[in-house]
Amino acid sequence: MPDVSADHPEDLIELAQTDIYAIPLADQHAFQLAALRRRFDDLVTRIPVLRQLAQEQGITRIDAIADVAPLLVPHSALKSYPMSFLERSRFDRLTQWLDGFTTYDLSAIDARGCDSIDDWLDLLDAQTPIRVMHSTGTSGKLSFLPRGLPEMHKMVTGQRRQFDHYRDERPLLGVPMEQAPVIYTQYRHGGMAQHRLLPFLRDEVFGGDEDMILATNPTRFSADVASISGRLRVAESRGEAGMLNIAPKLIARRAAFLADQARSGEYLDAFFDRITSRWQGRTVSVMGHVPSLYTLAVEAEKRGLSNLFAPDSFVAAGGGMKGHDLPDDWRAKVDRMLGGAPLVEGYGMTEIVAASRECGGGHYHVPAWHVPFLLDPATGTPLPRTGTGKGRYGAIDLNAQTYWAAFLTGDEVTLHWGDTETCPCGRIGPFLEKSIRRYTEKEGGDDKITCAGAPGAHDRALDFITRSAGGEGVTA
Amino acid sequence: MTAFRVPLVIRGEVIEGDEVEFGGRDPATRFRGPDVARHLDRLPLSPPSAIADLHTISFDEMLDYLVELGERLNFASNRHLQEALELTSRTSGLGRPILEAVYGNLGKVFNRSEMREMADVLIGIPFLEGWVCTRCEGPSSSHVRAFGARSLHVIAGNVPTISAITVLRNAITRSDMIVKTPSNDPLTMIAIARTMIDMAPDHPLTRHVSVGYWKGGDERIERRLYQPANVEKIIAWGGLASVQHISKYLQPGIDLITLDPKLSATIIGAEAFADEAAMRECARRAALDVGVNNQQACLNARVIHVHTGTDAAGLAKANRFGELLFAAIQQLPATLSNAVPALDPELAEEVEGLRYAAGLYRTFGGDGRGGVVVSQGDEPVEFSPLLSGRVANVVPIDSLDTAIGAVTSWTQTIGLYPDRLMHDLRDRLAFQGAQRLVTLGCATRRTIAGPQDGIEVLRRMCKWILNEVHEDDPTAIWQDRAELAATAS
Repeated sequence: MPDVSADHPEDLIELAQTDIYAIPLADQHAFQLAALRRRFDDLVTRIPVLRQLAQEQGITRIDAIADVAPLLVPHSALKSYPMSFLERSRFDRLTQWLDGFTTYDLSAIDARGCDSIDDWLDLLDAQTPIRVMHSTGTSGKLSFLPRGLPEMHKMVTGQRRQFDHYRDERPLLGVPMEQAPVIYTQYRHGGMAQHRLLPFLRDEVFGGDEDMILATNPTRFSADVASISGRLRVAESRGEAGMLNIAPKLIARRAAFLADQARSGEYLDAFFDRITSRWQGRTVSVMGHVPSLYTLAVEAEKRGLSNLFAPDSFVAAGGGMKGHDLPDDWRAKVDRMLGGAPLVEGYGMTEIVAASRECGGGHYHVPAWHVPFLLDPATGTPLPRTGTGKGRYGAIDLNAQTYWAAFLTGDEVTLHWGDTETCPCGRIGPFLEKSIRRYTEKEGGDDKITCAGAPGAHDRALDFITRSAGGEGVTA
Repeated sequence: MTAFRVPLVIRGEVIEGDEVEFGGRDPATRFRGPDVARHLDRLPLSPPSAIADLHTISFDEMLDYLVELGERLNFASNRHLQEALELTSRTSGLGRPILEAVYGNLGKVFNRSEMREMADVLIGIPFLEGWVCTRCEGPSSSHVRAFGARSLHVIAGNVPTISAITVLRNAITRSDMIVKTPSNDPLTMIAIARTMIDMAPDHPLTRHVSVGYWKGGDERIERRLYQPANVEKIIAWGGLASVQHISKYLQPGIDLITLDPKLSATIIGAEAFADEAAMRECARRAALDVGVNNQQACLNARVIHVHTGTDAAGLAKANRFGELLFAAIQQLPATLSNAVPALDPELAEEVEGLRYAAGLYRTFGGDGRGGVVVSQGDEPVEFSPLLSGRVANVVPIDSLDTAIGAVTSWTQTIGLYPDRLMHDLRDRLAFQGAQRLVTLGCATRRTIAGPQDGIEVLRRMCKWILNEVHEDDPTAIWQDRAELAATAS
């Protein structure tokens, strides 16, 4: 066991891959138990949500790793506030709600003056060490994770560690990280996890050089627009009644967003100009996922561009093709644009500071600072922590010291605990098979017809009608 | 190899063999059946005039046939239905005791007096039997008759009764039908069609029913079948999931009738909270609206607005009502409603999340037994469209206007208490989009002799043919008429 104290489990992520995956399993477990105790004892008095949960479950101490299973929090907890907080700009109440999830005291923050989510995020950025990360909710309700500055720095480490050379595996990136600019297939600014990471990468990896970050759109991805788009979809499907909940000022902002969208071609021209003038054929690190890579490939083709990067570039392709509906030739188009760099799939979530990348044996390995749980999907009972099991995935990120990072996903995974079988790549510890799927993917295929349903289906109906009409137009 | 086999029925003939596999990812719900594409040439009615034989049967003869069919749909002795139950008990959200009760009652759809009432109220039997003089003014008269059409039904599979109703509608309108079954119930309609074949293989009512399963969107089949030369009416349940495939082929000559997915709600007036006894009675009534058939149908209540007020006293009443409602749901008989092993995972995750919303919601239950989420303010949970498996959201309100404002065109049924509210609110609720208003506790008792989702489905399934007779002379406008008459004489 390397010299890392369980009092500081956040130091474990600093180890090189070769070292962290060489820790004997028994040592990993001992370290994890000690670290979990330490985190629980420290946080249970400081995080209201954890305190309440522990009280409800009658948990006062951690004696085994499995004791933590009842303290796993579902994703939905991070959006458990009522929608009216957003609709009626009750950012004071939203702040109170968020206060329940973090060790930082937000009681002195006065958010009454905020009139938008973006304002509120800016206020928290300016007055607290929290960097809230939000999701895009299809119904317009966003989830908010209050990540603190200590964990932000760990996200950078996580990025760095994924490029470590591991035994005879091909390195994910052909040059030192500092020399490979980040190609980002989204908005440069915003409040989602990757947006939050970019300024930290710039400052800690690239010495503050903004030129090392190339985003396809230089503007901000607005949390309000994400929320309003979803709310409008629902509101439109309901007719006038639902519309009344959205302030005219916010509808006006959505119009501004659409105008900005109209400039996206211009932004892309500038993006490709920056690449061809300085980075064509060189080694880069691409942060993307399959649909955005495909969109970018189509744009590159329109401009007669191909083979943009060196084949030893790193291309993060999200969770692969799962759930995306793309033309059959998507891969050929993406390969032509990239110029030979392989697509690297990964498994991660906002709540965990770094994703696991596919190894040489075709698995996602779980580093020792990331404690996995496997639950029976129907009963929530923890499954045995040995052999191989299939169930609902939960995880604790031992890096987190300002929020309770024990989350229950909606994912069905097959997990090898690493005690009875090992991966051919040689890494020690638990590993996941790539066949990960959401429990919410409905059983019985897409041909189940029922007479009960509503707005969710209407969202799709509206998308469908808009597409059928051949227009992008939004009838707000 | 999967155990379930789903044959194809074309006009009285059962086609098996040469099978391919269908269904979802769960091996327990997969099934095998012939590839409909290989039999496509025989599926549409050809020539269209071959519908004539249906119009030679009298209405009473038709009822005789349907009544006998109802008798043969006796679950205890009908092996086709027994087989269908084996599959639906795996694919359906209804528990086995409920399904057994539903199949046990399937034959009751074909009750003679109810069928007669349905045809007479919804269409008018004389229009089905022959030409009806609808206007007689001087020398002019108009005559109208309702004819059957070549129709295609894309049916829903959440409740097996839908198959029986579809057979009934097709027979009464004297139509020819091709039924595309859903993957969550491919066998019930086949079971009824096979019962018809066993009973009267050559009867026109048997020979105008074809039933098959193909995966919705299969272009090899739908591109060729969904043509005005083959079908005149498409009746599609299930909204976008089924319509998005069909709409590609819409063109003049095809009439699309959509029975979209809907949700239902409840409005309970202040009277219900006057005392514990009244509250308990209303909780039982609401439990029926929520729980019957495990909240799988469009007409089950989901959001329950209670006029208690949102002050501390009002919230206390709403919470007590929520507790009583949850208890009443637990006491529903197993043939009507039962606990499930687990809630839909998406819903379960949302309900779990509410625990972290510090006092903004109160939850009773919230697992496979069902549950009641009581909002501690006048807003429903955002995920209310996901409510199923006997989970209701009780929302206290200060004014009935709040409940009325929440009604949209996607709201099918509204259960009301007391009935007085019906008279006060029904026009306003209809303007908002509601389609059916019913006494609290009776939401799941829908009469089939009424409109559905704001549509007169039966009337739309018919072709309405007009015959005008004018006994005066339209050529009288010519001036030379008198001369011609003179010349002729």
